[in-house]
Formats: sequence, structure tokens, C-alpha cells
Amino acid sequence: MESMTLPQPAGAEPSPDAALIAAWQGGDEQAAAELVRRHARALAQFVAGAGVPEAELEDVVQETFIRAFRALGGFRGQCRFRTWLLAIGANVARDQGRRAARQHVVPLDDRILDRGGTPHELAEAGEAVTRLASGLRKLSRLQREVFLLRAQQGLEYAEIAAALNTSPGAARVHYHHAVKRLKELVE
Amino acid sequence: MKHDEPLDDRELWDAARRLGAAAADRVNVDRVAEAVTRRLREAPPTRFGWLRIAAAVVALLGGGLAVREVVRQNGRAGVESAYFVADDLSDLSAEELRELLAALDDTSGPGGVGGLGPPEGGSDLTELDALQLRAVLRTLEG
Repeated sequence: MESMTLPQPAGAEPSPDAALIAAWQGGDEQAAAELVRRHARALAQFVAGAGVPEAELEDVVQETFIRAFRALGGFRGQCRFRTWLLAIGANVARDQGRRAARQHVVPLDDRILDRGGTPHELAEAGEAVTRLASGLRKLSRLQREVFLLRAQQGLEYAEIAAALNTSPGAARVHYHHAVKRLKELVE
Repeated sequence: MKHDEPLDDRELWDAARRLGAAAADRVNVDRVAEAVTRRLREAPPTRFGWLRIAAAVVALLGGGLAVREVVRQNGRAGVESAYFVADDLSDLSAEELRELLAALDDTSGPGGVGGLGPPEGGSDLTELDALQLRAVLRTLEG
């Protein structure tokens, strides 16, 4: 798994987020909108993977950006903006999950599963994604978030560690435990 | 791949990259951007908000410690109910009070009040109004 090619890193955009952040802090509202457009889909996919139902997805994404912009003064560039955003998104998703649990709503929506591809591909891939989604629900929150940040978002351990306020070694351990448990759970 | 076969590493990663992708594609990014900028416009972050929150954290923690010390030295209960620093926070908005609770959580460690979110199994801070948030702060003072 360690030699597997990572997907395109989340923060490899040609124009740095730092410039947009500075512009927004200087009063440029469109800079905030551009940051939302730039990162909303990755954030939506991440929180959907963490169990947010599709019906709640836009609200969770919106709330995450609001919390992020309000807390931007505390962002010191310890990780990329998107990684920091994903960590906040994980907290917002957790809040949403608690509300859903109190209202007896099933937290994981099967509409998060990708339905693209040929019928054969769809059957094969749909099966794997369904099993993964089911397995992720049984992991601890930290294992689930580390796994998604690594396997879905393509982040390195150092980046994951900075976002989740842990060490790269601990992030690596959580990832490997997550993979091991997922393999057991999806058998 | 059959249903009873374990997923290998490659399949796990492929599945992870597909998980939530279609739902994310259906998110109306422009609508979200518009909503976010509108909310920010309606309630912009205060320029020195973090300073006010840091000062409130110090006041709350210091006030709480002082009250406990007085109670310990005098050996009588009831003194702590005479004054609450939380009552001096009437000028903080609900959003600032939530940030204050999150900051207190950071200073109080894993057993605190919940970081950016509420405590495990506890009530959701995002659903409380300013009055209720002040009541939570008062309980933290002892």
C-alpha cells in the first residue's frame, strides 16, 4: 500500500490559497467565494464519506466554511488550507451525526455511493464502495478520518497529523489499523 | 470480486476515491459560495474577536480558581454563587460564546467541553442560544 500512487494532492492548485485568504481578510468578498468554489467538492466528498447524508451535504459544507472563515485568524499554515478545512468538516459532520442520531435518522445515505460507469463496472465498483461505506461506519472516528484523508484525499501522514493534531507516526498507525479492520469488516 | 472475498489494498483505495464522489458532484458549489458570502456579510468575524475570547477564557479560569480557593480557605459553601464571571460576558454573541467554550475545552484537555464540536453524547452547542451558552459557562465556573 505504501508504494501505491497517491491521488493528486489536495493543495496543488497553481494559485495559492494564501493569496485568496489574504484578499478576503482585506475585504474582498469574492476571494471567499473563490475559496469555496475551489474546495467545496473535495470537502463534500470527504464529509459524505464520513457519513453525512446527501440531503445534508450542502448545509454541512456551508457550515464548515463559515466556521473556517470565522476561525481563520487561528490558521497558521501548519497544513494546507484544504486539509485544515477537512478537519473542521470532520467536526461539523460529527455534530450533524449527533443531531441525526437524536432524531433517529440513519446517518449514512446510500446515495453517497458513486453510480457512474458501465453496468458491469457499476456492479463491481458499487459492491466495493458499498462494502467500504459499511465498514467505515464501524471504525472509530479517528481511524475513519485518517483513512479517508489518506486513501480518498491523498494526503501524506505529516499533513494528516497536522490537521488532526497528532504525530505522523500516530497517523500512520491509525491508518494501518483502519485498513486492517476494514479488510476484516468487509469480508 | 465476489461478495465474500476480502477487498485488497487497491480495491480499498479505488472504493475510497469513489465514495461520496457522485454526491459531491451534485453539490451546487455556486449556491454554497453565495450562501457563505451572504452569511459572512451579515455577521462578519469581529476583528479582535479572538482577543476578547482569550480574555474571557483567562477571566473564567482565573475567576473559577479564585472562587474555589476562597471556598477552600473559608470552608463554607455558597460563596461561589455570589459572583459569576460568565455574567460579565453579556456583550459576547452566541457565536463568540461557542468559540469561548471551544477555547475552554482546549485548555481543559480531553475531558473538556468538546472542541469545535460538543462533547461525546452531550448536547449540541450549535443548537444553544446565547442565554443557554452563558448558563453552560456558569456551570463550568463551579
